[in-house]
Amino acid sequence: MKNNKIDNKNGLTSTYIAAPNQNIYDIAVDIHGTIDGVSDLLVNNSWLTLDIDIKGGDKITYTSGVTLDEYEAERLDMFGVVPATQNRNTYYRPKLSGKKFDVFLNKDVLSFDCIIEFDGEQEISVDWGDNSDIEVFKSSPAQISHSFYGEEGVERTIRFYIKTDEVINIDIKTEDLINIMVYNSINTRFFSTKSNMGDVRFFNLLTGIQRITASNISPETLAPLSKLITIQDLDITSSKIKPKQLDEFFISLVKNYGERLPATIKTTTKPNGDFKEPNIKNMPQNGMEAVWMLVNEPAWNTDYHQWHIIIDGIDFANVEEK
Amino acid sequence: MRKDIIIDIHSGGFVSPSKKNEVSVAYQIENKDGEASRIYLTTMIKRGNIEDDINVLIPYIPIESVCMLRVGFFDDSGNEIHIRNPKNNSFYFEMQSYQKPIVASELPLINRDGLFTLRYNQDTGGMEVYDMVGFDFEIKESLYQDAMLLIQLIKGGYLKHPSSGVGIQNYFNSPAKTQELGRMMIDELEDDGIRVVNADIDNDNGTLVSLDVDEIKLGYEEQ
Repeated sequence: MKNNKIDNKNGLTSTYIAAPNQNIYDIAVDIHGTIDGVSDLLVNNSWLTLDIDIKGGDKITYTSGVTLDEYEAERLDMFGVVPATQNRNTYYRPKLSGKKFDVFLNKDVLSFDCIIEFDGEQEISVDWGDNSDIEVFKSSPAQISHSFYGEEGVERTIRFYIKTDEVINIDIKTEDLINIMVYNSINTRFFSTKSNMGDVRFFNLLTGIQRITASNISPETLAPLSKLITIQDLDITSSKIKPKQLDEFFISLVKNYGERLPATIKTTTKPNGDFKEPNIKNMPQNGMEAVWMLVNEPAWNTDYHQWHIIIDGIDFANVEEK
Repeated sequence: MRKDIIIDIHSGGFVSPSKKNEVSVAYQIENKDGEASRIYLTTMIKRGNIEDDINVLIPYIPIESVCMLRVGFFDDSGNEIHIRNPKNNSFYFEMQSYQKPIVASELPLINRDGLFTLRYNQDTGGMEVYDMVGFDFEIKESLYQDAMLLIQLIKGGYLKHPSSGVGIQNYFNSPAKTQELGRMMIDELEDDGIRVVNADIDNDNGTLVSLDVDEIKLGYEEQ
């Protein structure tokens, strides 16, 4: 039997004792059998609003003797049901500007962690893609983390909004990502991920990127990385990278050299071929011939800036041709 | 026969219509005469009619430039014919969203997998980009869906009819209450004009294995 309704014995009003997780509509239904009863609650309780958080034990006054839908109210009492459907944020999202990128998480991932550093004034808003409010970060470094509750086994999409074009550094700690998609260019100097994602195309929209640490990626192709002309330090020491992918990457780097400074590239996989000058000048036939060109081409190496290709701990800038 | 928008019983999300239309792939091409600030794509379709919707797959292109699309088809002799834009007689159509140019890197915001339906807009001369998979609802017979919703619904959960619902979750792992669950299902569904022909409940854990229902009244709003 329910005992959440107490007669105030004044002939006019009664008091309702709220249960945990109830909102104003639940209470209106429990008292009046219909959400139309909300108006009675608002009239009798000046502190109440439609979106207020009602806590278990809160006392709410209502008009005695007038039940809008007696049939439903009586049935709820008969079944001993106390409606409690919580306050939810699913339907309203403010319109945000500066839509930058999405992170797609695997089904089993229950939490997400990343750090974003920036100088000056910045505002990073994160839509977690679940039932929680949009979170706003204004101070650097922003420790951005979240645990997902509710439904399990669903792919999560986290959307990042970044207001200004100030330089930011991104360090994604969560490993189990499916993918990242960047929609508008981001002024970035450093990007780090421990994830084993296979798509690296989004790096092309990280303008001014100088340092990338992606030590666990399993890419279908590394070719997009060869187009990053501002890169100075690239760590792709992932055991999942195949020699053929590195061949394609180093040859593409030589062919599309353009205006760029020498960089340091670290990998654990060795490209195909021998470390030697290409038989046809400037036409490397495999990855190691391209590596030779990068570290030996006088026009690309100076006393101050030198290519360092470090494969499994060996810096080929210091290795003599076989 | 009652009909409704079909939703996923477990997630509550809409179920989109299944489309079996042919999808052509669009490739990025170099257009030396074109503007450097734009990127150029080409695709081949089966018929040469620009008035029909075109289903196209455009992979993620991480370039912040407006897309121009060329649409072609093979004539009876096997020659490649490109369709001219009726608006400006060009071979290219600007890709647009809500009649404004859209940049290539933002296309996944419309469909993450790159599956789009393109519709020629004769006012702008552009191609409006729509989500090929999820841009419509599916309306079908809803008797089974209605029954399943009532069975899942916990009393007090649906504020329009707060005393309705079986709340099968409350019976999980309660094999002793299987009879009560069966009786509750029959009563609740009958109130909504649904007759339970057969309901198979797992006696070990109280879950519903299969459900066969029939309509006993026309209309399912308030009687």
